[in-house]
Amino acid sequence: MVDSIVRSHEIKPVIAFHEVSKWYGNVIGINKLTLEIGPGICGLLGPNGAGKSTLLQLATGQLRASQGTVMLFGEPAWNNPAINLRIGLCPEQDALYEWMTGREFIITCARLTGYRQSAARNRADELLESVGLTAHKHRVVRGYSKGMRQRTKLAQALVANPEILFLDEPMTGTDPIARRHLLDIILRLADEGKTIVVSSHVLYEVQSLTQNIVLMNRGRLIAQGHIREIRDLMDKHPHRIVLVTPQCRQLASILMTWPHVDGIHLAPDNRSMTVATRQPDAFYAQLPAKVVEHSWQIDEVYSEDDNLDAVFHYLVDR
Amino acid sequence: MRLPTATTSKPADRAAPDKPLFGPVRAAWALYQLALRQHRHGRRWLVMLVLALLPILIAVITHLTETAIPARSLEFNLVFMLIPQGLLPLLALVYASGVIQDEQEDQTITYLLVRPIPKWLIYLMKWAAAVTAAECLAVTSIVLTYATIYGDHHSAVSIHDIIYRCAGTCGVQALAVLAYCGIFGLMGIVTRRVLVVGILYTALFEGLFANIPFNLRIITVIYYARLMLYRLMSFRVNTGYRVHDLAAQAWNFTPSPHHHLTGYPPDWVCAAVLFSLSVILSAVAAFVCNRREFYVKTPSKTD
Repeated sequence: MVDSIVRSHEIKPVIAFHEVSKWYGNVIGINKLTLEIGPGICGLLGPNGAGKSTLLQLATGQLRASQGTVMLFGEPAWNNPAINLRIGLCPEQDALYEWMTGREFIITCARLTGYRQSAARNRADELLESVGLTAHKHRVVRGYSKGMRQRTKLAQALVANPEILFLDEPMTGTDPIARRHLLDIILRLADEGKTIVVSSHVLYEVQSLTQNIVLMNRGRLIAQGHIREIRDLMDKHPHRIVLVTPQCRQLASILMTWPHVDGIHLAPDNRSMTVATRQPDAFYAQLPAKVVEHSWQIDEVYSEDDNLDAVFHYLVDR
Repeated sequence: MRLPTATTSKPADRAAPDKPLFGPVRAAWALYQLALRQHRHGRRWLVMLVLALLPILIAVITHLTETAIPARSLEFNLVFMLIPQGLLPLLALVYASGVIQDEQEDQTITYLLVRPIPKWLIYLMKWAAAVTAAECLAVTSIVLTYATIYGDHHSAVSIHDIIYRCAGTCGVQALAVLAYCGIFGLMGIVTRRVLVVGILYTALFEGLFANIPFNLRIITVIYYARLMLYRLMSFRVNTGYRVHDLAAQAWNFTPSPHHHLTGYPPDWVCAAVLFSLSVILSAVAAFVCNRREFYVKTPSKTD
């Protein structure tokens, strides 16, 4: 249903996968994936083993596609070291050069990018400041917390001031404060005009960054676009609208007579109900008038399907 | 139905990024320095240092317990048997085989692959650092072993002769280490079981084939090193009863009509074989490396 997606070509994509497949022996990592990503933040979502990391490794030229082409800025990603000056990768794995201090690590990465020693030092200080690690920059990486390591990895990804930033599970294992900090940094980088691809299997992390998502499962592209528009594609699957009301049973008996209501599920505590409808616009248009007409008390109305989690599970489990 | 691509976030006015001028030389030099620093960390360095000091320890113990053994015999057994047959291949195997595999196992290779450095250059720089580390330990071991053997003031050998022998040995063995690094570096790129393969190679080629008096030994590194050493210095020891040519006996260099060791192959050919073997194999390894993918396992998620 949503495998074939018509794409907008208003903005030239900076990342383009065309019919890309990647096999590891007999195991399929990516299966005939065609995908274009333009500027802004793009959330790459999928369960473990969906192929997110493989996709990022293909995009960053670490892996070669078994079939198809992966292009960045119109150039092939594989074996194109010059393009690495325009991209940055924050890898998923936690490994760093453990014996270095945070500052030494960033200086090393900057020098590997081609900076002179003095420029590398300045760049490292600047980046460590921007990710909030200045106070810890002289500590050995081995003693860093998970959040500090993630910020260090993010800083190394930024040494070349890349136009595209690939973040592979950047929030994994971090505490809420570190997550908030990382989110702020990523949003700030997006405001600076960078193209950011964030992969995650934790839905709310991505939801708090962007509404533009790519959903993957078992190496296949399941859906791509704005979450609400993806939801609109699922025309066989009714929208779910939650009404929080003390008059659950009374309202349910009335709403069941509405032609565009497919079903109603009452919460066990009788404080809310979930209405399933294929015509949410009609439902939303009719509801206010009826509320006034019958003096219903409805404390809250929200669409459960705006939640990424619902979309994700529907698409993956269908 | 129509869906936009993930493009609706505002593409902010993009200032020209402050790119470093890509200096491949600077980046390569930084990589070489990084690789050298990596060799100085971890337990491997300590293990290798202990191994490199083993001939010295043996020399000290021999000095303390056995006074009758001629210095030249001790020198031969340690510097020309133990070190080239045991220590040097092991040093080269441990350092050169891990050029890329170590980074892959440590999962730090990603930080190299996403830099604007071609993979063949990554290999060559890291290989060069591995050669440097192996050579330093090898030369240190040889020099200290000589110092221990001939450090005794009662030694009849002149200081000039000791320096000559030590320098000659260091030079020739350095060439052998270079060749070993070429072999094991390539092995490290083409097989994951490089330690097993490397040890088998060392035992079979450099141990067995090199010590049998057939032409098969021309495919071993140690043969060329021995030839150069044999011509470079004397291995004769006077035991009081007769003069022994230690090298001729141990290395099966007994002169015969079929062995023209004094002239063939000439030294420059021996040196060229070892050097070009190293260059060719490292170039092949760099080529293979450039075409290879380096898959890094992603950790299992815990969230």
